[in-house]
Amino acid sequence: MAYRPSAGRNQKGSSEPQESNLVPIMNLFLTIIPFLLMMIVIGQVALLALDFESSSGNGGDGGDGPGGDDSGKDFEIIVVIKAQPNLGFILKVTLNGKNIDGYPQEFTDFRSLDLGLKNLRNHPTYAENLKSATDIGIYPEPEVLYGVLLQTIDISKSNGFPGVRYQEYFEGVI
Amino acid sequence: MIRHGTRTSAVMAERNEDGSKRRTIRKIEDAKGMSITSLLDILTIILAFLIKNASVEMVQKFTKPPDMKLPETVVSEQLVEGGYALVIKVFDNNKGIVVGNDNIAFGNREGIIGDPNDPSAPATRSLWEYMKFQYSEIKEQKEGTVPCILVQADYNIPCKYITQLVWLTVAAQVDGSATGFSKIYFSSMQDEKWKENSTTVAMN
Repeated sequence: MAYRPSAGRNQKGSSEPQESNLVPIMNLFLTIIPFLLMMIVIGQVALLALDFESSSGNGGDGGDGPGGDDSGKDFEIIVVIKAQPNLGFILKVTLNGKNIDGYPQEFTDFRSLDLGLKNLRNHPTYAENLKSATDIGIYPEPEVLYGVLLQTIDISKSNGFPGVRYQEYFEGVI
Repeated sequence: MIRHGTRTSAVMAERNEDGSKRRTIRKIEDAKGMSITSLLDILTIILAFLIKNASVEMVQKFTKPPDMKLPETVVSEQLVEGGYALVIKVFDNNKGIVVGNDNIAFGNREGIIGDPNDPSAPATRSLWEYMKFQYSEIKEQKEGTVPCILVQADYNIPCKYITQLVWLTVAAQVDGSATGFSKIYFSSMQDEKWKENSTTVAMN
């Protein structure tokens, strides 16, 4: 009676257990992670646009006092950023050069300005006219910080005023 | 390949010493070879990024300068189609005003206050001329390119310097001509919740 050869004698067919090589995967992750981190930082940088082309009516003139082409517009909405004596905002809305009811209004922080711009659309008399308004003038006093200016522009744009005119402050704008 | 080669030579050596024809297999530790696979992985990834960067050369990416505090904003806009920006950095330290990819220094921010036509304001004139030169350079890069200005300024810079910079860019004229730029972008850090986190208006 023939017996089959013992399993110990015949090792030709058996293969060694293969260890999975994790080094390439680790290298892959180590290379990708710094790039992903770098891309996240880039992604956080935002841009705010001001267009100074005269035809668009946006942007303003930046240095020649009150500018922009306002001809044919009855309503004018402006935000004056005050640095002296205390920092704050004045929201002024005029119709044919005269303040409308309830304006100008003063605000002392960003949140109240944000609310003020939202409430502007619900004006008891001129809500219909002001709902379609897209332009706003920003007049920062010279000593106002750039960060405050940019955040005021941000609040204006996020409240439906994409046509921001950045204009130089002058006495009598209020 | 390295592992197989190592194993074979080890078996042959044992057979010669014994003089026996019986085939024995001795477990030996594999020699540690350098893994080319890992190297190839890294090279492939680097290559992919290099190719990507080369193909989108005209698309600018903007990063925050390390020693500058940018304001936070909710709104984030894109450069106009075909836009290419000349970056003007206004630092709140002794770096002053730095312009362009080559980071050309134009001195401190006080230096740009003035009229480019005024001989007593040479820095203002130099900056104006550089912007005008860059406008032409950007226009010549590729047909349809729209030259823009990107202002990256520190949160604590007083607005009068930014107003002056804007005026110099879009309105100041020398010999009857302006720099040519009409689109200005301001750089910020996007933060959806900055308003909630702000209690009072920051003061200098």
